[in-house]
Amino acid sequence: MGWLDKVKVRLGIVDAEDVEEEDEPRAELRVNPTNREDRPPLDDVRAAPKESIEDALAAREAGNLTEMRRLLREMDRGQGLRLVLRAAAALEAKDERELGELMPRLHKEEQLWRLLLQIAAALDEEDGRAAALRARAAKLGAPAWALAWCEAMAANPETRRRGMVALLFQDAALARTVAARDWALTGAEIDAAATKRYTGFVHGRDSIRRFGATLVAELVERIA
Amino acid sequence: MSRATLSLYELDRPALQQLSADLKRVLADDDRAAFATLLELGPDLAKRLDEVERLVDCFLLPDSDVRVAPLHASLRRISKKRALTKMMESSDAALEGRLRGFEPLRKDASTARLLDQLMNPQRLPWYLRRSGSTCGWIDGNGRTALTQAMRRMKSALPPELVELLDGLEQLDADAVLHDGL
Repeated sequence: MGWLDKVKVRLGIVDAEDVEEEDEPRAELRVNPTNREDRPPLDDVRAAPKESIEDALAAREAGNLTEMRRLLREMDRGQGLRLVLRAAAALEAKDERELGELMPRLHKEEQLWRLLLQIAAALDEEDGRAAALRARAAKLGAPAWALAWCEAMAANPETRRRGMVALLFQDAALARTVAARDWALTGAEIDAAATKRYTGFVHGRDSIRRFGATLVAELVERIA
Repeated sequence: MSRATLSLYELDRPALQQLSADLKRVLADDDRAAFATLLELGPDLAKRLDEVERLVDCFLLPDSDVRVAPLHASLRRISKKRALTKMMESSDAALEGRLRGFEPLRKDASTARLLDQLMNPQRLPWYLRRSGSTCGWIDGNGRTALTQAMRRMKSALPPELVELLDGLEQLDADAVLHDGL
């Protein structure tokens, strides 16, 4: 991951997993000195996972929870969405031993606010849980645009409207993209300037939704 | 098709900030009467607001959309009325090209940065940006620094840049450059 990608991950513009997945083909185009057979292997360097979250979710949707958990273990890089889904799967299976191993890493999650907002957006409900997750994300320093975006996707119509107005003033390109994609507002157009940020956030929200947002919400309640 | 020419405006920044706050409030409250008053809409246009589900929807559509183009235009008109005073309109469409490519002026990094800021739409509120337009803002300190840098090389400047310099020298506050207001 280059310095620019690291900055993007820190600012919450993209997921670390997305950057890692993007890096792989570019790296293959270059002469890679680590591929030389006459050199000893580097310590602590792990190959990028071959499996994707999509594979794990497909296994889940096919009812194969054992295979899903195997895939999530394989692809876990110690942080981000993969770690969270692996832990949520352990919670679902009541596997307290594995969950106990993962919790210390979850406590260190750098962008917990991002995860909380993705869960809130995935919940699709008007009860207080989504609002509580947004409030918790705000306390953890979630940027104003991310909070506004999450509110713009809330189930409550007034929260949605106020969130969208806040987002329009924070990031008009993103507001118009959300209007086109999530609100399906007739005539609204996706703004290319916001596409990457939109995709990065929505990938997490949709993955959590497919996995089961309630279960993931239950997991993050355990993270102090 | 003739190219738009750039105009230089003096910005009353507190007035524009107040307009933004007023606009944000009426959109968040979905207060149609207050919105119509804020934008000084005529009765016909105000009545058309009843057709939209939410006021904010109007500004989520492109300003080229015929359904909302008059509202975008009204908002820009009110912005000018409350916060922007036109000080100069370039007589030459080549001004933008000069600002982007006149090497003697851009050789100094800080001057080049100010020129880029003056043509960076992201520095203006969303409602002052039009798709495809050139626009931007610099604060009073930046305007003074840019004016001084241009004055130092006035004899070498082409006429369109001299015209801009004359405009900048009349300003006493922040500067906005725009080709679509």
